[in-house]
Amino acid sequence: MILRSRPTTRISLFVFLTFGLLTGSLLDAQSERDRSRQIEQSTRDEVELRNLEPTLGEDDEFLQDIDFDYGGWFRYGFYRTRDNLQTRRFKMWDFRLWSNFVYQNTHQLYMRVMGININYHRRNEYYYMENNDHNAPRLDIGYYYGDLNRALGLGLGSDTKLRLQLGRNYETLGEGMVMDDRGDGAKIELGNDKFEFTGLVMRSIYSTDMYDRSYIDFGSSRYLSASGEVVGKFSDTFEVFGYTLFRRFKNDASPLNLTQRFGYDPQYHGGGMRGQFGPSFVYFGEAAWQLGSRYSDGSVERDRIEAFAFTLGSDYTFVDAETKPKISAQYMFGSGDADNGGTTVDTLMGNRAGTNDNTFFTIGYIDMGYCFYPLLSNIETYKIGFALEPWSEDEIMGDVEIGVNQYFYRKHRSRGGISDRAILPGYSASRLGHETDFYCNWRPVSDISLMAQAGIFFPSTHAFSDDDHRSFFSWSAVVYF
Amino acid sequence: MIEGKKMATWIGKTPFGTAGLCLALIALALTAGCAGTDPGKELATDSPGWKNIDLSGLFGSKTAITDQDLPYPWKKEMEYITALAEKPVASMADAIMLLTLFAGESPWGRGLDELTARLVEKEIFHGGWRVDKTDPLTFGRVSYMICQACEIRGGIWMRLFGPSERYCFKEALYLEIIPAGSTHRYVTGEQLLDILSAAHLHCEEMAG
Repeated sequence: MILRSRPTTRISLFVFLTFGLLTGSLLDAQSERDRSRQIEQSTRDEVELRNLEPTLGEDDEFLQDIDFDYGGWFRYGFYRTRDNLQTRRFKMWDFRLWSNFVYQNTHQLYMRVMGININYHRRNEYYYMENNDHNAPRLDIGYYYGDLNRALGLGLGSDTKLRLQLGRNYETLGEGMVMDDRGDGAKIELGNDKFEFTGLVMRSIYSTDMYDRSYIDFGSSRYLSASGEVVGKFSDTFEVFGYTLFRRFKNDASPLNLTQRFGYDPQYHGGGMRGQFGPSFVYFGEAAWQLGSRYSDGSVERDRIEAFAFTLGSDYTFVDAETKPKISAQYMFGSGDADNGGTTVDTLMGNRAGTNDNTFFTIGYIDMGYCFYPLLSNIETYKIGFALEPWSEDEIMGDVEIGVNQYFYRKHRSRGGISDRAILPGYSASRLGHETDFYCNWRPVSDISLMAQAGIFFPSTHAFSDDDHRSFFSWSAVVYF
Repeated sequence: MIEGKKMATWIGKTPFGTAGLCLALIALALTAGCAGTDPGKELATDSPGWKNIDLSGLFGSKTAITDQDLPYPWKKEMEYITALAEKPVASMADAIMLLTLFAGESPWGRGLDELTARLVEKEIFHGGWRVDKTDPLTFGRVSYMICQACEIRGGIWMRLFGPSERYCFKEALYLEIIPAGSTHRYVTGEQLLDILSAAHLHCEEMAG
């Protein structure tokens, strides 16, 4: 293990090891939050697929004064993960109940309660299970959504949309690379069929585990964000977007430390496009520049952040073929910093004091595999995939989809760290490894979904504290009602 | 008195608070839903000449019908369709008329009661529904009739407990026959035509 010899690093390392080992968080390759986020994303995909999220009607629709609906789903899942430390097995029961209330097609109140229970196999628990949503019913989503044009009688015309949202919801910017998270806040939407502007002020939920675990009490961190996004719709099959996002991380613990301060206040300015050629070819791209300031390792002075990330991807489906084969490819890039020797998301052992931080870091969501799933931070990822519906004509098995994805991971700056905590600081080569994932989705009837996922990650030699492969397996069933 | 912030915390972080708020919302919705007159009923007036027109061509084509597609004698039907498409809320009478055609029967010279009885006999129309022909049509009811007409078996709940407006609507939503909404939401005239066209395509696909 190669350590830098600066005095501040030694002090920081002591603090890091003391508190990190106390919480056990130092040892985990990925955080339990990452895994939960990944599972939650698959649930969200399912819900969106089934169009379960009701909203206000179109302007030309007449709705009765009171429109009310309710529903929910129950999910059972079994998960088995093997990382650099141990094999973990757990079962998850996930229960959601939602209600939707619309008044005069103008005011909407939507609430969703979640009750999640995770039952780890004996001796497989993570060490830090406080401050999360895993063992009690909580408010998952709850918001008011109103059509200001109609409510206030502004007379903007039925083509113009002016809507306000207050409360807790999932929020996404662009393709979700920079921001895709749940939070409490206020959002305003203004647009028509050619453009749309969305302004958002949001605070992360207290139970959200922040990534920087070098804080003394990282569990009490949260962030505030303000963003604006403009979407231009050039046709039904092509649109471009641009956004700006200011985010301020805050930690309530405020540890008394005269040699180290904590703070991370990034800005993101980006844009992208998404479109489709015919029924077969779908493409998308997004790029973001990250600016702002942060405290570095062993420093009470702020350093500048200058980082960059982008992604490009496309799918092609052979729509005329009976089995609907689909090939996909995606490239994901997040810039890194050569003088950041530890994990890219922590302050301690992170960016070298007095230098710009070129490591891209954000709380978004981008598919990086089942096993390794690093954050988009000092990494290049190539992804290719293939999927098909082998029995598309069959009445029972028609919805079965099977697929495989292959990922190749490289560092951007070979001397820099990545988000994975098992990376060896002395590893200065670019290659990180490759991963193969398999999945199978099946909806035998409309209100039952079955999913199985498996993956295996082969790390490059001497890149991580353990050269053994990592694996992931899960199956889950969802019943909607 | 509980302060606002504490109340918000209590509602958001305790199961009792969240459940209580949900129950309050449900009670409010049920109470409000039972009160007052229904403006939709006034809008779902009877379509002009619904007893005397022929829409048999409506379900014979996989593509949208235009003026050019229709021979001269069908101009009246086109007038009906145009009138229906412009209605802000479709009526139960519209659904009975179109579902009769959908089921392969002719509605000519037959009254609403006779058509309703025939649909009840074919188990397309729910025998327990007591409706006036000007009653507004809802997503739940049109979904029920379509699922029965197309013999859609549905998901696990529908198979266990039998067809209901709620589960038929969820099934129709899943099959992309009906747009997103809710069981009780009113159907516009244009939506009714789109829904029946999509249902017709689905039935044809199911029949091979």
